Amino acid sequence: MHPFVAALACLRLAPELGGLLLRARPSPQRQRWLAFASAALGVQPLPRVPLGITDDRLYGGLDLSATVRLGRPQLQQGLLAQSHGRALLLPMAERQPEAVLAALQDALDRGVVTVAREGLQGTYPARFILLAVDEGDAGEAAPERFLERLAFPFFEPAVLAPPLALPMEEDLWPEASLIFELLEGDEPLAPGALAALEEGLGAPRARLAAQGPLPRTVVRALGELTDALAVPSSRALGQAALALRCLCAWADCAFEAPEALASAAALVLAPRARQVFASESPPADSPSPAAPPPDSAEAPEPPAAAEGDDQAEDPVTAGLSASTEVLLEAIATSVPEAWLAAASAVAKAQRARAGRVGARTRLAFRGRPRGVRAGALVPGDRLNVPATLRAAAPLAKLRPPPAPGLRFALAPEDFRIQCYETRAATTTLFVVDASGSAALQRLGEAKGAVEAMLADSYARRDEVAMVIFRGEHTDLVLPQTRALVRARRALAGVPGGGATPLAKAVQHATTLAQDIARQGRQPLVVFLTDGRGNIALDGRADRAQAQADTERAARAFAFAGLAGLVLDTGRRPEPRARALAEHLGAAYAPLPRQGARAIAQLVTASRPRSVAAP
Amino acid sequence: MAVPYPFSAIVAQDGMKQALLLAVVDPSLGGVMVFGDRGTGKSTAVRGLAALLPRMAVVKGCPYSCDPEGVGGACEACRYGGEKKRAWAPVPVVDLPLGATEDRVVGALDLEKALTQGERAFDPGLLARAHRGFLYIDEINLLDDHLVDLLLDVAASGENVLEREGLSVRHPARFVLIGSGNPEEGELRPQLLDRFGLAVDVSTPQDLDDRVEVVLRRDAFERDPEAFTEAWAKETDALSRRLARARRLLPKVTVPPAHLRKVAQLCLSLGTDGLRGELTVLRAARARAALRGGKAVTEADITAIAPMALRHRLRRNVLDDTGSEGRIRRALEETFGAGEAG
Repeated sequence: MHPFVAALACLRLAPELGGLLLRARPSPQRQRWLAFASAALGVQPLPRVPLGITDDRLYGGLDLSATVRLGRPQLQQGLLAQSHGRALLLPMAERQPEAVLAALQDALDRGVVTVAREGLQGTYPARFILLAVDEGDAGEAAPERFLERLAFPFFEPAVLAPPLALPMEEDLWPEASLIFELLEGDEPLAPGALAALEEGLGAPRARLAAQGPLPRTVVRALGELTDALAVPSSRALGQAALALRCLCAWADCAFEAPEALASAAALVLAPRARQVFASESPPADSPSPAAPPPDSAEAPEPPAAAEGDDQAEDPVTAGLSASTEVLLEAIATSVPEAWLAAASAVAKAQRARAGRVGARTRLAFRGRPRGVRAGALVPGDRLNVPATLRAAAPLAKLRPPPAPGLRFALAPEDFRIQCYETRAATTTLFVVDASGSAALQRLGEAKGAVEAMLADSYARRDEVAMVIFRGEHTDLVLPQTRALVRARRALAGVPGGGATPLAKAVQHATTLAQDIARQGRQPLVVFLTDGRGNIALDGRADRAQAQADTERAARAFAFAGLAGLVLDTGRRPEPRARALAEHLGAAYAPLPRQGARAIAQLVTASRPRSVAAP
Repeated sequence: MAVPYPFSAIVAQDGMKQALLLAVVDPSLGGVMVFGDRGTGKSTAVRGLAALLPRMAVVKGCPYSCDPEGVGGACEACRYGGEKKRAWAPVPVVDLPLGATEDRVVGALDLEKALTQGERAFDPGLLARAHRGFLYIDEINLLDDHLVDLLLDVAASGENVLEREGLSVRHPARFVLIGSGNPEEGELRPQLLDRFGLAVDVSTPQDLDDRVEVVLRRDAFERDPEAFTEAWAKETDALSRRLARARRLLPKVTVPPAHLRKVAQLCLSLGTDGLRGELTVLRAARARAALRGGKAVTEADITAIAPMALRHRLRRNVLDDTGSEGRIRRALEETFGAGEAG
């Protein structure tokens, strides 16, 4: 049975499984999968959560025109409540703002949505199946705590590769399997075919309702498997148990049936595996101990015949019960290495995102109130009722009599909209020269400055990020964050020495600063360098070329209208650092001798108003 | 409302359970902050907690659920109104929903009345509903700063004062604030942390048996909530009685002067800011003593609750790596002597 069909079959029986994640770039295959999912979920076309959805459409809110017409508050249900008992498509999950993901997550957890907005209060059922689509862009992923609500993750290799059959019979849901085989493109299905799909659900539903309690041994076997595969999610075990129930209901078999157990594990646990079998030594180049990239040399080749003999010595498998070991073997053959790589790419992208909660541009109806304005109501605006009534009052006599039940007539031109002021938050990007030139001796001071800034930003709710350049590389060692724990960790491990790829660093900083601006924050780039670049953009050690490249990159930075500050880390003020500042259009200051605090003050001083609005 | 998962059936998470129980025994402790990822049973625990509490007497029809006996701290209508009818209501547990707007939190102009009768009336918000109960904020770091400030101010002052949209309202809002957040997703401001009486960490149980047990119980609960609740009724009742007894006992619990000194010494050696640390340690220790049925605070009480009462108050160098937990343990050992500290 195709895993995707099986996943949908489970979801139809138990929406509590949340939904599924499809992390893949757009392709005909992905399109076909989505079309099938929509058919199997019985919703054509699937309602979607568009990027930039406003809170009032998501949660529901005051239906202003109806409210004014009827003279009493009218709720317009949001997408969450509207999708109750149905399904919902979340495109570009990786680009959705935290607030939207949090709303979806809350609804997935509780099956209800609580609205407390704009004078309305209520709780409405919102149990839906979520189909999250992630473009699979290497740099971004939705946070794990959101994705782990979705029981069935599918990563690109699984979408493109020839289907890996689950060890289940082919015809559990024959109608669905057939449609999946035959479906071409994304044509909607004929109503007859949809009805046939629905009919197939009756018997397994009845069997699910009649099932007895899960035996402890079965849950334990799944639990051992979760550990052996190093699945990081705390929910996976419960989801695997529920998926097992569903599969058994479909197949009409006992919970202990090995093929059902293996299928549940392959669907829920295997795609989340961070290892297939524990490797003897952690990979040396692992970026973080949290999720070592799978070592391709030690991950078993799926059809390895001798694998069984080696397992006894494996430290992870040693403590497992015999049945789990058999399962593990079944999983190992069904998880291609590419899946592991995909899962670890997600983990990496998620780490880059962590610490950015709240960083996205907030909708402009929060913050400190700042007067009202007249104008058309756009969803998301907040009506200032007293001001609106005040505006309407003098005209009451002049207008035609109000609708029955209303004290006086309101016209659209009376609407007064509350304005709010949101403080544009700053992200300070440090670009630190850690090369072997004069900068090296002052690397410690530079680190100190960054630390002092961190402490300062902690109070201001600003963010910091840091790029280090040395040798041939520029590295974003600290993606923008407010989380001090992470920042400190990133800072501690910064080495020094090597050549100075200044041009590359300026280019990198420009890209990053533009990214930051795109997220609605004000970037301030602080370069800590002596300006003596000696690596050209193409990687050659050519001082003259490096100089020319740096100049060009710096002009591009200035052209982008970004705000900068160059702190000269040379032993004495270095003319080339000053020149760099000029090309960047940035302020220049020699790095104060005495301590980090002075630097932090300098950075703070260069921030107000001089920061060009992006 | 669906049946809540019984508090007594929550597997492991002892720190969180204890902190919540202490906050129930002594609501003046000032709330609990729970650190950890979503889905570690935090909201389950808070909802289950409410089921442990006996119904409370309220003034019938009062939107703020005022206590008919309480004279001070009642809302204006109850303070000056004539005869009060008595009613019974469950202790409220109010979830601050995500995306809640400020007007629903603090209350706002009653739209219906404004539109139909042109009347300026107050429509109480979530703070009014949470009065005498619990206000639970999941993912407190997702909440806008100004909303957090507002909540903390109300939680500290015990009343909600509203001056907006032409309304001028003041009503009591005393509740136990329970917050949750994940420090990896952005630090919380120290001023905010300091307002919480207790702080605990929750994490996914590491033990396989525990995790298997969690899934089995959860599965049994999902299949048949009523039967599951029934099966745990004995434990729930026992806990409920223990709480009621502890609440009665609390005013009688004494603190030996020697222990008072030691608590002060402990806070001094840890360098906590202000007096709130000492006070919270004492209160929490008394609550723990009451919970176990003791009449006097012992060293064991203090050492058990000191970490959760102090860990979020240590003035730390933001870049210092030593865990607060470790520093408190060390200070405890120094103050009480290594042998007895356990």
